[in-house]
Order: sequence, then structure tokens, then C-alpha cells
Amino acid sequence: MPDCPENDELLLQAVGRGDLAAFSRIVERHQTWAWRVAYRFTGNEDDASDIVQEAFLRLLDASGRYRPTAKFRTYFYQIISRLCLDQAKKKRLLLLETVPDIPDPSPDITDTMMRRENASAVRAALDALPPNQRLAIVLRYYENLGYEEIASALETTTKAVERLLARGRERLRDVLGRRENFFQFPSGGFSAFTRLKE
Amino acid sequence: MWSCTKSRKHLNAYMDGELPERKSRLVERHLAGCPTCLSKFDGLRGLAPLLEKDELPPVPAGLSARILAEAAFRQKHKEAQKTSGWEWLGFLFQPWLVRGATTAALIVGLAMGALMGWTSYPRPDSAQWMTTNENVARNMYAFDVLGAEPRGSIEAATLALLDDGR
Repeated sequence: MPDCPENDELLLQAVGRGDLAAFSRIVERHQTWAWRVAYRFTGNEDDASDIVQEAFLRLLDASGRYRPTAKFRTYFYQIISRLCLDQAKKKRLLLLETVPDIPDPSPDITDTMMRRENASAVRAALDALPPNQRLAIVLRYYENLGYEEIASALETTTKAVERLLARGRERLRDVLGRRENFFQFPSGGFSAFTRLKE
Repeated sequence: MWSCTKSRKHLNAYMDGELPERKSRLVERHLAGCPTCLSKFDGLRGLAPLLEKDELPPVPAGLSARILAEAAFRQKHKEAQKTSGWEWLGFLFQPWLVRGATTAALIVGLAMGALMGWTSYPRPDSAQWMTTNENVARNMYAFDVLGAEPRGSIEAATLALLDDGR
């Protein structure tokens, strides 16, 4: 294996020159978070796999034209975001029809069942969001991106990101809040606020 | 001090640490004196631990191998094209070129349609060389299909009337 530069931008330029070892290094480095974004967005392993595979192959195809004006991550987030939104467009009707039902809690419920139930409720709430709001929520909560980075990934403005997040959160609260005992705030009132500020 | 409406507009950015220092202080001051907005803020903060409940399966075992195999295949295909001298064919299938060609074909089609439509309508001065009788004869010709009409039928009467007019 030829020597690979450690910097992602340089690696991608090497891929553009036909260096598959550099591409393999990029896949190895970035597949976990690419998978995380795709899975959090789709909630489905097959769809997420397809998105991740297509994202890396698009990266390979575009590597010849890549100029390191933007950070590699920003560039890749853009590719994944576009693929996620395209996938959502294709599956829009299906998603509306198959928001999973939240099962009724049974009296002999175990911790595992409870956890699964909560996970499926969160999944259903995320799936019920419009795709761009869902993607903004995923990038903010699971990837911990700032407004600038999310705006760049979604190819929009920071103001638009703020609005997407506000609407997405409002909707999530509505959906999750309908479940009894589910929406428990970490703590309430002014004490929570003062603790936060400390 | 900010109103509830104004503070709520900035609650998300404040929670995300995206608000400038001065505005953050104004939101904080409002929250300290407004239990309604504070409870809304607590609700927003409560989302993060809830979202953590969404489980994440590990990356599928064969995923990277699949990606690398497909990448190797594409690379090989590209090199084969280069050596066969048909590399330029790939240029023809560039998305921008396909889109451009489609748009150009559409414009040419529309222009030709408009031109044909324009020339197929007789302009006011185009039929002036025909005399009235010639026009009537042309109309008669249009009724040629009625030539085999039985005597005494409506068709025969129509043709007789047209003949009288001439």
C-alpha cells in the first residue's frame, strides 16, 4: 500500500489521481459517522447502507474535480444530505403510510421492552418530521454540528436552519408529548434554569 | 426587557449557544422573570435526552468491502475506457450535457411548431387571387363526397342550392 497522506483533503486529491488505497483509507475513516447520519435519518438499515455506499461512490466520481476550498467533512456532509433528501422524496408516500404504531404498554413490561418502546416512539416521531427538519435535527443532536455547518450541509442559510430546528423541535414535542409519562423534563422551573447557568 | 414573543423567537438559538452574548443576556433576563417561557425552555432542553433513546445499530459488516469492490470495478472500467480510446464517450453522458441537449431539442421543437403553425393559417391577403366563383367551386369540391347522392335526398337538394348560387 502506498504512503497515504493523513489529511482528508489530500487523501481525496490522491483518490482523484486514481489512488484506491487512499479511497480505502477515507472509507475506513468516515464510514461510521456517515452510517450514523444515514441511519438516524432513514431509520432503516438497508436504506442507510444504500445511502452510505452511494455517498462514497459519488465522492470517488467527484474526486477528480475536487478542489480543497471546503473542508472534506463539510463536502461529504453535503453529499450525504443530498442523498438523504433524495431518498426521502422517493419514499415520501411510504413514510406517511408506515409511521409505526406505538404499542400499548402491558402491565408486565420489562426494562428492555420499555427501552424498545421508547426507541420506537422516538423513531416514529423522527419519521413524522418533514425531511429537511429531520435532517437538521439529526445533524444538530447526533452530529453536534453548529448552525453554520448545518446550513452548509443543507445548502441553506443559518436563519433557515434556526427555523427548521425550531419547527422540528416543536413537532417532536407535540408527537412525543402525547405519550403519557414519556415527556419528562430533566427538572422543572427556575431551579433547572439556574443550574444550567452555573 | 424583551417580550415573551421576542424571547421565544430566540429560545432555540439561545439553547444551541448560537446567540450573540448581548442577546443571550436579554433572553436570560426574560427567562428569570417569566415562568411560562422558562417552562417552554425546559421542554426544549428535555428533547436531547429523549432523542438519545433512538438506538443505533453498528455499521453492517460487509459495507466497506462492498464499497471498495464497487470502487475497484469503476476504476477498472475507467482504465479500460482510457486504453480502448473510447474515453470521450463518457463525455457525452455528462449530466449537464444531457440536460443541455434536452433543453435545446425542446426549444428547437417549439420553434419549429410555432413556425409551422404560423405558415399554415391563410393571412388576410393570401386568398385575394381567388374569385368568388373559384371559392364556390372549392366549396363544391369539398362536397364531392356527396356526388353519389340519390335523387330527391337532402344531399341532392344542398348541391342544387349551391349550383343555383353560382
